[in-house]
Amino acid sequence: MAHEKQVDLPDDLEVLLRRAMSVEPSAGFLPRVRERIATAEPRGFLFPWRIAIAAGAVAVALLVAVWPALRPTPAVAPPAPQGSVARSAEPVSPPTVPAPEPREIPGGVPAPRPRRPPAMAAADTVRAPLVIVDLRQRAALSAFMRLIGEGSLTDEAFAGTTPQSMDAIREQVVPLSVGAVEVNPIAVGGVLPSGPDRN
Amino acid sequence: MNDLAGGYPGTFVNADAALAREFEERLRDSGTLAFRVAYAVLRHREDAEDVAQESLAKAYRSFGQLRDRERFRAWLVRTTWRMALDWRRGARRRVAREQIEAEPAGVTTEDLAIERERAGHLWTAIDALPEKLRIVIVLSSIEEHDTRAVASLLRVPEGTVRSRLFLARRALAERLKWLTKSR
Repeated sequence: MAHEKQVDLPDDLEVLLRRAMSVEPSAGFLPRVRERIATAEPRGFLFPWRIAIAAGAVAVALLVAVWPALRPTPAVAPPAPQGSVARSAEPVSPPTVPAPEPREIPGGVPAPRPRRPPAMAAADTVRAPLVIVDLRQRAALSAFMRLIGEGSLTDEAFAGTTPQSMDAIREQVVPLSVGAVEVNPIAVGGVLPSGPDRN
Repeated sequence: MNDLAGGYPGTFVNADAALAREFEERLRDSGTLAFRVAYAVLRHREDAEDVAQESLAKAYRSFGQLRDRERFRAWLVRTTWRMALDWRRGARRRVAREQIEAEPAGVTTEDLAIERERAGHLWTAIDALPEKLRIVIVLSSIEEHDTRAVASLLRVPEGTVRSRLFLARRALAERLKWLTKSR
């Protein structure tokens, strides 16, 4: 390989090159470097402190992120006039039009349920987070725990903490009638193969 | 360097003293190397000292990962080279560069002027080299590094160093042919 053999520079050029690269720093160079690094700290010193600072920062960030979910929210709606402890605090559905009665066809099998209007589907989509963490349920639970802590839990006191009740929507609940469902048993030998052909 | 360790209180003193002793050893061993690498790029003594100083301070801050001598020197060379290039590109560069620093004793003013002019041509030819060839010719000339040492400093195979050194020296010989003939 041609590259293995070095090119010989003229002697005077070689000397010039070596001389150019053999410049010495001034006498004060190393003392200045020592003085410069005296103000610095190697990583070894700061390492435990950096871990502690980073851990603290992460803890604070987590606390800030989680705090809104942990903080009890005050009841927004006025307390219901009457109720019981067993009463639920389900989210209030938006006003809805009663679903039409399913049409029945001769033979007793009900017609398929009509598709819900897009507006209702959109309302469900908007309300979806409340299903996961319902603020009113959480408020009711917080109030419940507070009353236990204070030792003042009574039916009336708890009813007063429930922000919503079914009373507000009771008149909107419409009875729904479902037609009779007829089930036909599977005929013998109907679906799966049987006998010696079956593997 | 022990006086550096003495500046830190309490339990850190012992660990610091060991680190500081090791770093002092590296500083004596490689301080001039850092300066020469920076000087090869900047060709200004004060600028080169500033860059080498910053590079060594940076090495000190990362000394926990650079305690091995070869690793330290390789890191120092590469970092100093990059910092010197950045310095030269930056606003802090000096307009005029020194052409030659070493003034051999017992030479006349005329000889000195000729020497400076020749060195200027040499540096111009070195500056014209691609960076990969330039750093190889610089490192091989500093402290008479052999190809293995240069390969270790650059973390490249020895064959690559030989190849680049061949190309660099050939380019220098061609560019400076007139200079050696005219002497």
